[in-house]
Amino acid sequence: MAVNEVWNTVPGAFCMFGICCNSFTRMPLGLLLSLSLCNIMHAIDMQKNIWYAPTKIRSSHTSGRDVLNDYLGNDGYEFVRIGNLLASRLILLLILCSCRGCRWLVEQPEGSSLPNTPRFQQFLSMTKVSWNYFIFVCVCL
Amino acid sequence: MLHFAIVPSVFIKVFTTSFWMGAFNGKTPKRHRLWSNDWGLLQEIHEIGGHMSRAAMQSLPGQSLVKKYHDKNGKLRRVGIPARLKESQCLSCKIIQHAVSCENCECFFPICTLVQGVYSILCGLDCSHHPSTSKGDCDSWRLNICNIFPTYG
Repeated sequence: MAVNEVWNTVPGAFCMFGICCNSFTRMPLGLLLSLSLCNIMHAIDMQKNIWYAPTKIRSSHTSGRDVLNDYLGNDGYEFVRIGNLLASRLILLLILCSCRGCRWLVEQPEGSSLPNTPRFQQFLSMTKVSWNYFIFVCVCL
Repeated sequence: MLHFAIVPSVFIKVFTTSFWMGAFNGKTPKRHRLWSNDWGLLQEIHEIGGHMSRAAMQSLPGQSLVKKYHDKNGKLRRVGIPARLKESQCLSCKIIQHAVSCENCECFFPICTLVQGVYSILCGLDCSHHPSTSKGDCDSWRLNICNIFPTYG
């Protein structure tokens, strides 16, 4: 549905993405924002009373995202797998938006580890970035 | 994949900025970060919500989403309050509802305006998606967008 919406936009259109941040943020219980495209569809389907329910809020320490596992986290949990899946789909949508000539905007709470995920880093490596994180890891054996 | 990787690097530039959601009628001063390929848009958002004074933060109506306490070692720690977190989690949804509901208001907040832009684009494809939306409303929204961001025309 999101690909269809992006594909039907005209060049120069604006697409806003805010994927679920419950597994990316460092808040103890993780704030959550629904997928903005779903929210737009919710705004459209308000008359039908369709509600896109958010997923369950979990602890960020439970997700286990850190530099040692490339911020992929403990994928034994479903909400971590969903976060990784949404991150990958987000990157595909961003590439699609860029190819369609659309403007896009990705929103995350401050401190989110989404830009550290491998797919996001891969996307940033494909583009010219004005600012980026640099993480140096020193492993003492 | 190599060709695909080279082509976007020529055309796509990614910019980032951060802003306070409290500056956009948020109940709490929550810091957010944005990534976009539109520098003018991020600059506009940063000019309005990039900085927020401590007095302005304390004047917001929302209660704190976390509870602060000192552990046994005296270190300051924070823990979220689940009920308040659940109330705050669909802020983007509320913004979109607000943007859709204020058809003729003079609301020029960028986020609200941008959501209107997204909605007008969707309406421009087929206005029958939303029963209460007529073509005239879509045109007025698009006109507002063009006034704020001329490149949207």
